[in-house]
Amino acid sequence: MARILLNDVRKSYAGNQVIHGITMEIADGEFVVIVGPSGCGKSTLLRMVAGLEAISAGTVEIGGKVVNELEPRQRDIAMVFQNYALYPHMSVRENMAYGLKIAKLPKAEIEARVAKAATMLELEPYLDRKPRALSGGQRQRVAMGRALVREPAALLLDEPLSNLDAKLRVQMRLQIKEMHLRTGQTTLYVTHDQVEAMTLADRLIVMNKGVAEQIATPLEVYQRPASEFVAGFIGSPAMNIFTVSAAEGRATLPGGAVLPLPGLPRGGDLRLGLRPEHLRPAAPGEAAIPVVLRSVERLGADAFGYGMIEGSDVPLVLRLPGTSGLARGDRVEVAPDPGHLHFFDAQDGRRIEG
Amino acid sequence: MAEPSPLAARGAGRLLAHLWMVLGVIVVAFPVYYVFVASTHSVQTILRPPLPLLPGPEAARNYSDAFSGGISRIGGVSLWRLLANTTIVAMGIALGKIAISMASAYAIVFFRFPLRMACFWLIFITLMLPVEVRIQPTYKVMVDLGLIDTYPGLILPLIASATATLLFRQFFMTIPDELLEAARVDGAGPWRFFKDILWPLSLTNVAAIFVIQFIYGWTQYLWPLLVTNSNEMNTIVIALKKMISFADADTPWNLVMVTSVLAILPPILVVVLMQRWFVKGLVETEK
Repeated sequence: MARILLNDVRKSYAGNQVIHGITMEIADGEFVVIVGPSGCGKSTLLRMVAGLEAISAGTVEIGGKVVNELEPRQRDIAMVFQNYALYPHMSVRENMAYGLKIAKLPKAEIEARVAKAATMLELEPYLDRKPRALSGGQRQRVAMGRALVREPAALLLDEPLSNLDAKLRVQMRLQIKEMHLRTGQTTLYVTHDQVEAMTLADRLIVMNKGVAEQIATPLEVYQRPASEFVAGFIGSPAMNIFTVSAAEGRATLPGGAVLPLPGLPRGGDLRLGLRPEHLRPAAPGEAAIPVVLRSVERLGADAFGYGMIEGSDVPLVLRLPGTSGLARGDRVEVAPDPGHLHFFDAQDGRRIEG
Repeated sequence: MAEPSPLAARGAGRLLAHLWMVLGVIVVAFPVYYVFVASTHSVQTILRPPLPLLPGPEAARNYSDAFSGGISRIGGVSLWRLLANTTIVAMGIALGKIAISMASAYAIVFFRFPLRMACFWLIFITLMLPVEVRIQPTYKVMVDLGLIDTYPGLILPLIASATATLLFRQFFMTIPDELLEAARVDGAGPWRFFKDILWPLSLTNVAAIFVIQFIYGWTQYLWPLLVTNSNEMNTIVIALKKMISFADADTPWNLVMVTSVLAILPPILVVVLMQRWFVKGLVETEK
């Protein structure tokens, strides 16, 4: 159990920088999720904390100790790999006990810890099986168990659920959450799945191209995305973002419609972000965005309308009630919820506070 | 045969296929069988063609004679000594090759050191130089080290193996990186990783290479011929050669055949016993 401090951590391969200085403090017992598209450097960041990648510049501190030059085993961490990396020739019990055996813990202690983890993860019936005789979900739990028995200062998970099917993933997600509540382990979790990120995290690091675009609680990331990238990445379906030209409290939309918008930060070209769930049918006579629907997806409780802003080729997604009778080809007028407008700089994509 | 193999053909095609396979087995096995047959006849029968196709009545006598001194009368050493020599040499070569090639493959695959690839290519290039090419300098080295007529002299020059190094390298490269990383996180150093993870996973490969190299060592001819002067240090193949270098009529063909059978037997035993490992290696594909 420990605090993790990242201080301007950078990584470069042969002069090519891939992580551009990440600074963050992870509190003792906090669950932090690093989320981002593939290739954004999230796994690299985790592996630098683990000690599997060298740190090019900056420092990583675990439990008050700079660990830059330490081997993984000296860092007091445990890791769960995406493909689990179980030792194929060892039984479940041996897999979980291996690290403890190397650490030369007393036999009784090892057995007690393995038994405890096996109970928590419901692995008791499988303790003497080899990994190949287990299902994907069971293997995943063994990998979790192997990390947990170590009772490490920090638990690192690298996309631990991405090899599971959808149903199992939901189940394991809940189990991981519960386990974190029970053990209070400082946890760093890498995923590209925004649902995992939103549901598990105390705080999120949203990464893009080696930069931490935003470090905040999931709700804050959703409500006040720090950049256009974050706005587009978190939320499903993704936020509608398009360029408007603003002047005197009014924005000219693509296609020519003019919309009075409260809180327009400034004039000129801006990027306006509107979440599908914050668009509602406009009242008659209200200023609105005209949309021509191209298709409607019905999910039962909700329906999503995919269309274009009239007179332009800018796509717009609407969230509609499941009972909506709208269909392809219909024209609707929608008004944005004035409490949920997002403005971004047209050049650098940073959020502009309204 | 409850389940017909998916390869099973029907009718005439099947018959033809079986005939072809039976023919193949006969071609391969007949000379071996004939050696055995010859080892059960007296010299007189062997020298008067044609040699019978069925085992004769002299088996017990030939074999007991061979073991109780018949071979020593010809070559100066007992059959037991020959078998012991050959076993030591073959085991030494096989185990030595495995130890050396595993160690070098381990270094090349899992460690980053300067000139790593240069080392790999250096090893690889020796593949292109057969023993015969470097036999003279090797012989000189053995003489200088005083290793003529010793087991180390018979074994050492033959245990460096580019082939085995290459095989182990290929196998080590199939080990997923995450396995190594998981072991590092678990606290295993290089030695523990080798002992606890790499070695158990390599066992089937080790078995395969052992079989190949044991047979290679057992059947060595040129090098033992060069490096041994004393009959005491002969391997069975060399002794066999010495037994038949007399005039045809003087050659105790019955004993030669007995020796041949005994020279073939250990490699066959090794193959048969190790075969389980091959099958296991084929079934356990998951790493």
